[in-house]
Amino acid sequence: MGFSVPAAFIIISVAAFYAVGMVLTSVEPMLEDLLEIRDETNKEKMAQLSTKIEIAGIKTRGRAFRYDIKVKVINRGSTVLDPSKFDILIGGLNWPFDYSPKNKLYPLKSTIFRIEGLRGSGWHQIKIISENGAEAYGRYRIR
Amino acid sequence: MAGRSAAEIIFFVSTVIVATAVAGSFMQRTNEYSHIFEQQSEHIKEKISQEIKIVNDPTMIPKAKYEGAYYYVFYVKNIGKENILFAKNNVGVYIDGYRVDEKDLRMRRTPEILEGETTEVLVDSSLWLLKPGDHKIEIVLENGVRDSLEFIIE
Repeated sequence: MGFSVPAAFIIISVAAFYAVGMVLTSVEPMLEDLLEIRDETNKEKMAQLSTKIEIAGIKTRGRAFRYDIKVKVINRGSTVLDPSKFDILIGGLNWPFDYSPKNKLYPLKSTIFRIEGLRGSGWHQIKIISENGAEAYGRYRIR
Repeated sequence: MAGRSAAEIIFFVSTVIVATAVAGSFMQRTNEYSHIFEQQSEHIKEKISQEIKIVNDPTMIPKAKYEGAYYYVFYVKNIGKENILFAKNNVGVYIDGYRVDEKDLRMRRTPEILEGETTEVLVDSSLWLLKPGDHKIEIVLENGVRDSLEFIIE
């Protein structure tokens, strides 16, 4: 027996220590990453919850065969928004738009969105969606 | 005496060989589990940081003509903080619980939706003629991230 049992014990113990070390060194940074992402996601969720937009006014110009609209959107929440990442649906369709001023939409500030080349008479429904999914609805009429 | 020493050496060597084999197998298993854990962690990270939203006006689902056929248009917005791989072969589209076959789908601005960007999912309306009334669409990414929208066809 002599040295056999201690030798086997040492070999297996060294392997076990090395394995535990390997697991810890690979798992720890992954857990840190996951916790960091969870924190970021929580912040993002908070930002989504504190985002509120409102359509403050809609101005139309033109007639049913071709008209343009200007939509004033106010940021009623506490999150700074990027108007270039908004979507504007009119009659269910996503329309390209221009906006001013060109800076970000800060709390209690407003941005004017312009959509040109629309058609159709009667009442129209508009939906505006911010980059983080906040929504606002409005209606306007073209005679 | 010499015979006993030889037997002890043989016993010692064979013990070391067996212990080394056990240790090697143990290390290999640990390495494999570590790798699996790493992959799972990447998957979880992806799932946590990706988010989509179907942003259609639920009372007005538009139809559009595309390559000679009419399609229902669904707008999918990336509201997460990471770009999303979005193509027919890694997205599941379900209407009223039924999976829409890949051949009945078209997708625009793929294969990636950038952060804050919106893409269009087109469903062939000749094959998926939705009756007037309430319906539900659900879009599921391959990592399980999903969103659904209840809408009405008038």
